[in-house]
Formats: sequence, structure tokens, C-alpha cells
Amino acid sequence: MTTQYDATAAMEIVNASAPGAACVEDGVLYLEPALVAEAIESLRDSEESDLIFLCSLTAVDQERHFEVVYHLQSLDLNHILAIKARLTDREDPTLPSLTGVFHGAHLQEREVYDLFGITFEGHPDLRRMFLWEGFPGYPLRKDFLQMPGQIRAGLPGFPHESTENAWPVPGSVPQRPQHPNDPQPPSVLAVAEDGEESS
Amino acid sequence: MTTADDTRSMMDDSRLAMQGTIEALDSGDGSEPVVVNLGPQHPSTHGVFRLKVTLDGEIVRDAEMRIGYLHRSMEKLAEERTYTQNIPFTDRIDYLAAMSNNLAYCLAAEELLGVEVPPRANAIRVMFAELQRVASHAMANGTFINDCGAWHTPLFHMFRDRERVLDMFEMTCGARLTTNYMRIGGVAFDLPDELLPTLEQFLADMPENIANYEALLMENEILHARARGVGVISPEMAINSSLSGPVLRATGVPWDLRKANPYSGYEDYEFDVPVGEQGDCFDRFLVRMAEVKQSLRILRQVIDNLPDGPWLADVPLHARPEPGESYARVESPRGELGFYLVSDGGPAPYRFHCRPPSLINLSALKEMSIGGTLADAIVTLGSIDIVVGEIDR
Amino acid sequence: MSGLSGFSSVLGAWYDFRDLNNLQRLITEWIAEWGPDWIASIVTGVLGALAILGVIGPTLLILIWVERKVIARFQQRYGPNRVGPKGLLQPVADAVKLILKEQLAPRSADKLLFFLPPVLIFVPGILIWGVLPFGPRMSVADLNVGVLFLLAVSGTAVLVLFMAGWSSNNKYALFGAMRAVAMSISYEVPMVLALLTLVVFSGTMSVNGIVEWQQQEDVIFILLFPLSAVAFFFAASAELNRTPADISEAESEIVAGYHTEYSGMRFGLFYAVELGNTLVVSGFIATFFLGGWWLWGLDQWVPSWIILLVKTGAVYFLLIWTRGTLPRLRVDQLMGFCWKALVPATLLFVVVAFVERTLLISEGWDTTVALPIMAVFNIALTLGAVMLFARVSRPAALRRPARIRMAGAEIGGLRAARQVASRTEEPQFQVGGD
Repeated sequence: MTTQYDATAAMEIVNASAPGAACVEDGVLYLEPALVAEAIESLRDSEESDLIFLCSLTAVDQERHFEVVYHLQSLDLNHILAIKARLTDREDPTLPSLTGVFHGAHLQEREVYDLFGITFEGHPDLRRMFLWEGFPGYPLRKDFLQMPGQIRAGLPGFPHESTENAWPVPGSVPQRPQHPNDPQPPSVLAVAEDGEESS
Repeated sequence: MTTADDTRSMMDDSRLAMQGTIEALDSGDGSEPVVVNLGPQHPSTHGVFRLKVTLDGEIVRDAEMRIGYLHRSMEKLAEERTYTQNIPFTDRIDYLAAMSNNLAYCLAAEELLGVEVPPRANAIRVMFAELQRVASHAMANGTFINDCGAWHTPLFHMFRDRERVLDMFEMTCGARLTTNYMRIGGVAFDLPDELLPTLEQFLADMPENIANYEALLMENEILHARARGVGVISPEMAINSSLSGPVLRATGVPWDLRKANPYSGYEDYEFDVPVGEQGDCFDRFLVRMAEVKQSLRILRQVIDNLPDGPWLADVPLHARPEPGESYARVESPRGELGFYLVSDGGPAPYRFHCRPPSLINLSALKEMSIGGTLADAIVTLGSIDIVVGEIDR
Repeated sequence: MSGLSGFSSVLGAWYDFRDLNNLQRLITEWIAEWGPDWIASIVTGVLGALAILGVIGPTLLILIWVERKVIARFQQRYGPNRVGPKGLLQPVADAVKLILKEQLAPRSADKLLFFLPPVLIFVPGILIWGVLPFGPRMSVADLNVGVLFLLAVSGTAVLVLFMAGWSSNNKYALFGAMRAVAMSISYEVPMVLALLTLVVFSGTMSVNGIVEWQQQEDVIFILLFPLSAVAFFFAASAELNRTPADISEAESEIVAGYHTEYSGMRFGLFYAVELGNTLVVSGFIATFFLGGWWLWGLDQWVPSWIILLVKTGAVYFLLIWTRGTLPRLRVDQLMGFCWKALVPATLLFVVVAFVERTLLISEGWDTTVALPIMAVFNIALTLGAVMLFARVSRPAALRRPARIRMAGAEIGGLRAARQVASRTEEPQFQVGGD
């Protein structure tokens, strides 16, 4: 059975090689954004932690900040550790890239860049992956295509629970990506041109 | 263990080798590399997947994938639907292994809600996850041989098995492909009476079918020539590239989440984890063939020890989990399929993330393809067994 | 001549359905009575061409059905079974559909060169039928250099394929065309050498002459020169773009190769010619190596063209069988197999044929004794050559068996991988290797 690796032990390993890079809050290891790559490299190379497998790399928009979440796994010792890094700059969130540490971070970082707009410095090929260059906004941010009346994406409540949870403007539903009423409909032509690209 | 420098130098080497060749070509006889877009509409990309290869004659000098043609923004849509409403989305993520995706998502949601799953539901889940593995591997191996250039014969034979599995799905939940069968806390329906006899018959017939495939394919010299030593990846590089599933096991790393982190009662069943040796396309094929046999072994044990009792725990349809997060993963036919759910206490997940094995297994595609021929790149892509629905989500 | 000869003498020679050429001879003689020679030549030529076209058209339609049906049986399917009895009219429906379809041409294609290939491809496809002997005198043109004509005509098809690939202005088409050119040129060599063996040994370049030699010596060439037969079979299947050598229209790699951009009946023409070529090559394999229209005297009783048809069908079935079973070789493997294996081996057999022919003619060996000995010797030599090649040419990656080990308790990363790999007991599963 895979066990959770102790965040405090991980913090000690990280701080030994990159002082002040890690701290533990509520049993979760938080990393200093600027030192993420070094910190994770030390966790990977340490004999005790042996976190050599990057399971998952993703981000969460916590409205005030972005949280980049890494799930690292040790195969031989069979433990897993969730690591987070907080990015408070919503305008231009940047984080060092993990591609030098884990080759598998390439595509996952591109996905996060595409959908959250988080820039990974040092990524060799940071381009949008699912959407095309020039797509307006970053869809997985909570303020993507914000409606008048501050409606944000997400489900405020079950319809039966309370009328307060219903959408404030009757008849209006949040516009989703590629909704026909979208004021800036994503250009289909952009895809077509890209698809015919040749050299 | 691979150090960061190793990884960097590996990447630099391939890049330098590539640049050197292209420069040499440019300065030489005036020829230049050809860029070919394989896809998005191409018989071998298994969906709308585009591989942009730079070719020097038939030799691949650079391979770059372009994806997103099937992006349905599921992770965004899921934020506006309740936990139960999101289950059908998971069918459509990996439409060739809908049961495994259902299972992974339900495990994540159950972890968030703290739900205990009844034993009968667990056994049924294992049964359908393994049936799904048989069906998915039949598809994977069949199309792989097709990518090697066979004229659909192994594919059609293997589809016969897949068809029977899909019939059993239809029998149980009314759908063949997008099953939407598992629920938070169990499964939607109990097994129908006619399922177990059908499954028994299936298990009785499969050994002969597998023997037929092995007779046709295992010693096939052309298949050996096409797949052995092609798309090779070392275990160190595979781990560093986050590869999982048969692609990782073909390199010799015995990593299987059913053993490493047993879920749904996998610890109660006896099975082995087949691992390869060379990490080439043929090993991936062999690992899948061997895994089918192991799945049949598990199915036999599930039938023999099927517990009675409820098949669905009492979970409110309108569940509001406590704020928190969960990351649950299963060994899907393609590898580690994880769901990362974040709850803010609302009725819908605050964040719904799928760790797609198809996408992440492509991390090393470029390294596997460069230096081989165009035909090798196709075989490599086929051996990774991608599902574009899962890549793009 | 016994049995049916009495029957034919009653009804007149022209009515002897064993040899339809009698009809033509009768017409020629009738014209010669009143007209100049050139009219006779033209009339017989036109008649022959019409006969060939009349045979090919319906045969192709049936062949499409046969191939689809047989492949379907290999694949546990029914195959076409909706249109007409047993689905026999399916090819007709397909042809109608293709004819009605819009003919698309890429905007950037070279219009003239794009238009020409589906038409031009028919020329060698039809001409090649001219030298195929359906009976003792039953070929449109019994040239004394028939083998040369066959090789020359089949060689021109590659120009048309390249024209199609180049003018489409499509990279898949260009790749397909380049592969087709490279492969055709390479496989011409073993094909020529394989036929040269027969020419040297039988001392004639006439296709009918080779059949008559087999009839006269009471032996079929596949027994005397099995390697040449196998080489010719493989080279021909490569020239025909059939699996395992269909690299020039490899579906999984370059979509449809040189005819990627052709739609409607233009594609249909390529497809028809390809099928027709498959049939005629099966016919030539049957003629050169299986005795053609001759079958140890049975040709006295059964119309010779039916014997040829049965033999052709057998070879054709073999071609479908390989197509339904084998995966495709890679470009370099296919070229390597041609130049490193087929060319030396067929060359060896040209020398063998030369020596044996000298022994027969100059030394005056008795053929009834010498031929069986030579056949045994050549078969042994073939087996030896094949085994030697299999041993020498096997790539290093294939020398080691592919192993699958079962990890039960050892689960983990590199350390567990080393544990599993260092286990001393036999691997659970192992395929391939020497």
C-alpha cells in the first residue's frame, strides 16, 4: 500500500540543500516558488525520499493565488508526497520549470501554461498545447469569461437548496468556452490554417 | 538513478545530433529536410492527433506532436456539475477504457466524501475493470499490428473478443462504450442473471483465442523485424519521463498500481505483473498479451469469490464533501490514471484534474522516434497505445 | 491426340473450345483469300485486344469480390453479402459509386500530369496480357522475345506511378512514388535474374516456348529452380505493392501512397489495374514455374485455358493469403532483402542453370536421369541458401529472444527491476531468438 511520505521529513531534506525553500502548513509541504526546481531535485536525489517519479503536475486557481501541485512518488519505497507552491502574482505568474529534473514535466507544464497561464521559466518549448496561440484568456482560471454581476465559473449550489444560490440574473447562464454567444468566438480559421501548415 | 545532468545531456545530445544533421544537409548537396504532418486525419494516429515529423529521406530527425483537436474542456465543465454528474465525463475521457476511468474518478470522489464501498461493489468493479483491460488491450494490440502493416487480420480477430466484452457491458449497464456504470459508493446496477454464464463462457473460450493469436504473431519474423529494437527506452529514462503502464513495464520496471497501491480489493486476488526486458515496441506488445492472461486469472477469482450484499453504498446524490483534496489513481490499461479533486465545500468540484496516461506516455515519443524511420515512428506511436480523447480531454 | 480430337474433327477445328485461337486463324485465312496481309494483321490485333479487354473487365469485377470475400473469411467476417446474390454485385455497385463521385484535383497539382496517370497506367496493364499464353497457340502475340517484352512493359509502369506521385503535390504521394520507384528498380533485378534462369535453362525467350519446354521435358520449373520461383513470387508481390511489400501505399504510414489525392473513378482505375496486374502476374508465375496451360497430359482433355486459370487462381490465393497474414516490412529491410539476399541467390541460380544446361547440351546427359538429380540438387541448394541467409542476415536485435518475466512480490522501481532481471530461474515467457 502506498504511504504518504512525511512532509516534515521532506522539508528537512529540502532545507538541507536549499535553505528556506520549504515549509509545512497543515501537513502539506509548501515550496518557495523560486526554488521549486532545486527543492524537488533534492527530494528526487535523496536516498530517504527517493521521489523519482513525477505522477502529476497541475495547478489550482485559489482566486487569491495559484497553487501548483506536484505529486511525487517513490517506486521502490512506495510512498507518495503532494507538494505545493503558491504563486501570488495573478498578472504574470512564473515558476521555474521542472523539465531539467523530470523529463515527464514537459507536457504537463505546457498544459498548465495553456489552461492557467502560468509561465515556467526554463521550459524549452513553452507553447499552448490544447488551444491555439492567441486564444483569449486561460480557461481554467476562475475569472475566465467573467459575466457582469461577478458570476464566476462553478456551481454555487443545488437548485433545490436555496433561491440565493440560483443565478442572479434570470435566464443568464455562464458563458462557457466556445459558447455561441461568446463576444470573441474562438477563430475556427486559426485551427484550419494551423492544420494546413506545411513547409 | 538519472540525475538532472543526465537528463539534460540526453536531451542536448538528441537536439545537437538533430541540428548537426540538418546543418550538414543544408550545406551539402542542396537538399533539405522534409516536414510531414502525420495527421490530424491519418489512418495511424488513432484519432485526431498530429505528429509533425522532420524527415531526412525516410529517417526521422525531429518529431513534434500537435494536439488539442479533441479538446472538450472537460476539466472546466466539470467545475459546474455535481460530483455524480461528472461521472459521464469520465467515460468520454478515455472512451476505450470507460470503466477504468469511472473507477478512478469514483475512488477520488469517495476519498473526498469518506465513503465505504460494499464488498460486492468492489468485486464488481474489479470484474469490469479487468474486462475493460481485456477489451482495451485487444484494441491496442490489434491496432499495433495494423500499424506494423498487417492487413487488419489480427485486429478483426481481437475485435471479436472485445465485442464479447462490450456485449457484457451492454448486458449490465445498457451501454457498450461510454458505460457510466460506476457510482460514488459502488456501481449503478447489480449484475444481471445472464452475465455470469456469459462471462464463464468467455473465460472458457479465451485461452484458445489467445493461443491462436500467439501462433499467428509471436514467432512472426516480419513482426519481430519491425518491432524489436524499435522505439527503445531505458528504464531510467522511462521513470524520468513519468511513463506508466505497459510502456513502463516493458522496460523492466515492475510498477503496477494494482500491486503497489491496491484499490477495490485487488490485494485479495493473485496475479503477476509481466515485465519486459528491452523496452522496445515488441516488449510492449508482449506485456499487453501477458496482461490479458493475468486479467483472465483475476476474473476467474472474482467469479469464484463474488460476495453477496448491496452493490451501492448509501451516498446522497447531492453530496457536498468537506473542503479538501484527494488524488486517487488506478492502473488503467494505458497506465497510471489519476484524478485530482479539490473541494471547497460546494456541490461541484472546485478543481477536477485528470492525470492522463495517454498524454504523459507521449513525453518520450520524440526521444523514441528520432533516428528511426518514418515507419518506426508509426510503430512506436502504435505501441504506446494512445487515446486522443484522453490526451485532449 | 485422342479422345476429344475425334469430337473436334466432327465439329471442325475452329469450334474446338480447347483453343480459341483456332477461330482467329480461321478468320485470318479467310481474309488472306481476298485481302492484303496488313488487313489480316490489323483485324487479328483488334480481335485479340477486344478479347483481352472483354476478359479482363468481368474478371476484375469477380476478382474484387473474390479477394474481399477471401480476406473476410481470414478475418472471421462475412464480407460483401448484400448487393446481389452472395454479394456478387457489390463490385458493380462500387464501380457505379466511384464513377458518380466527383473527380477532385488538388489546386496545386500539375493538372496534365495529374490527369494522365490513371489513363496511362492502363497501357502496361493491358499490354502485358498480350504475351500470356492461354493455350499452345492461344496468345495474342507469341513473341520470340516474350520474356523481354514482359519485363520491359512491366518496367514502364513505374514511370506512371512516379508521375502520379509527383503531380499530386502531396508529401504522402511523393513518398509513395519515391518508394515505388526505389522498390520497382530494385526488384526488377531479382525478377530478371529469376527469369534469366529459365531462359538459360530452356534456351528460349518465348513465353510459350518455356511452357513447351516444360511440357517436353515433363517437369515444372518450380521443382528445378524453387529459389527462382520464390524470388520471382516475392519480387512480383513487391512490384504489385502487396503486403508484405506494400510500402509504396503503406496505409499506416503514408495513407495511400502515390494515389492519395485521386478520388472517384481515377482511384478506381488505379485499383482496377492493380488487381489486373495481380491476376496477370499470378498467370505468369503459373506459366513460368507451374507449367502454364500444360498439366501432364490433362490439357488434352480439359481446355488448356481452364488449367491455366486454375493454376492462376492458386497463385492468386497465395497472394491473398500472404496479404491477409503478414505485416509489412520496412523500406530499408525490403531493399536490404532484395540486394543482400534475392539478387545474390538468383544470380547463383543463373550460374547453376548455366552449368546444368551445359551438362545437358554439351555433355549430352540424358534428361530423364539428369533432370531429377538436378532438381534434388537445386532444392538442396535452395534450402541451404535460405538457411544460410537466415543465419547470417538476422539483425542483432533479433538474435536474442524477447523475454517476459513475471513480477509477483517485487513491485517498485529500478531496484525491483534489477531484482526481477537477476532472477535465475527460467523466464516465464520467451519468444524469438536464434
